[in-house]
Amino acid sequence: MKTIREEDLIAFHLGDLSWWRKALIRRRIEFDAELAEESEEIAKTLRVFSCDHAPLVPEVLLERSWQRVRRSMGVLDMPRRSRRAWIWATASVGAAAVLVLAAIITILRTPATRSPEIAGDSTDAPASWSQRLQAALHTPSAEAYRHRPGPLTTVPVDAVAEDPALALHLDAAERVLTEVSHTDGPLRPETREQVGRLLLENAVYYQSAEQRGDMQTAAVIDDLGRVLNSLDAEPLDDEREHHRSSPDAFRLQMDLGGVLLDLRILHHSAGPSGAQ
Amino acid sequence: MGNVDQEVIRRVLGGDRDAYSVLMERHFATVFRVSFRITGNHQDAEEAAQEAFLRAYNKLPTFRQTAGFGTWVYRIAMNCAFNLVERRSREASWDAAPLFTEDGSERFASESFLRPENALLDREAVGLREWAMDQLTPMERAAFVLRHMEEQPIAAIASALDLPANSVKQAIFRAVGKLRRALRAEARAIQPHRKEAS
Repeated sequence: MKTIREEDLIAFHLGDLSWWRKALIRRRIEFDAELAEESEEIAKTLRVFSCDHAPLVPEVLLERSWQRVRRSMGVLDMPRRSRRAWIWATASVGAAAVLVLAAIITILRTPATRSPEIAGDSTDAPASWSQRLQAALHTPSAEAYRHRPGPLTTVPVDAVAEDPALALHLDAAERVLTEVSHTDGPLRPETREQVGRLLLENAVYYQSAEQRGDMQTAAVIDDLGRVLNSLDAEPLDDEREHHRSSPDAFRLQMDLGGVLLDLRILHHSAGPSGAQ
Repeated sequence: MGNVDQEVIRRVLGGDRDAYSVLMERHFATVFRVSFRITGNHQDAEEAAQEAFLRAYNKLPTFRQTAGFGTWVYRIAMNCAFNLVERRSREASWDAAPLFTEDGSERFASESFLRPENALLDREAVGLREWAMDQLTPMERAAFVLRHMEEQPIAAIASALDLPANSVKQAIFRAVGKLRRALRAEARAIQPHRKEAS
């Protein structure tokens, strides 16, 4: 059984114990005469000081105290915000200003929200400028070919637009194919030589487009490669009569027309990039 | 009541210093009472009460009014009175009179007890209490008075005296123990005299 100390009894009489501790001590006091005597003595001590009277405050004391306090009273500063509050307020306003500024800059720099006049500004970003121009060029011309396979799309051909060498290659191929499609008879030796050179270059550009993951450009180059292959493999003069009415010749004509169309579309896309 | 205090505070903060007398009038009795109980004499109680009101006035711009002005100034008074008693105790320690004289008779540690008006009072009542209270250290006295007479919670006392709650509790236990023994000794001393007188 835990010993009840004087401190416990004092706390008991001051009411500073929990109800169960208080009940425990009360029960112990009932059965322990010595403890009960000690408890009574503490209670008496506290009673002696409980009957302490509150001092009276005479009017003269209050007046004297007021006069003394009044003499020492200075002018109060108006309630001021603490330094920490000022720091927080300043930081909050600063952060808000930065956010607003960032939002304004973002809105001004977003192409979708700019007016046509601003969009035509020469200070515009090259990428967005070329993309918009390509889209504008493509929309009317490519709309009619939307359901065709290959690069017939309004999506700008960035690889062509950003690679002048590829643009030149496609340009040369287009010129050769146009010439071939508008002439009858056997290929001229210089044209055949040009076709051979284009065929070699084409393989390089095809590989490059494929590595970049630009599958649309790669598809056009691949189609071009097949046509160039067919032209390169075209029979010589003495064999020409035999093949004129063959299904391969007819298919070559069809392929040539399709690839030429694709090249023209790509050529339109590449045009502005040359201007850049 | 709180609204009256708030209105007065608003006027004082607005520059009307004389309005502060209303607050003093309303709360001076309570502040003086606690100061008196801690210091044990009128002179120090008056000084502590005035200091409490002056300190409250100077801090009035920072008073948040989450508690009433009365509670606030009361707590300031607890601190002022306690500090004053401690200061007096340190000053007295330079030439502190011994509790017991050379011939073994007890003498009063507190000079306040020797005031003429107190000498006229019944020694068996007020005098005995005063004498017993003088056995306590300033901290024990303040903690005991505030807990037992003023019925303040331990946390409030600890906050006002700027002490840990456990120190306040221990101070109260020591105070009651000392008072108990002092009263017992005094009662034993008085008992034979009474028997002789009868």
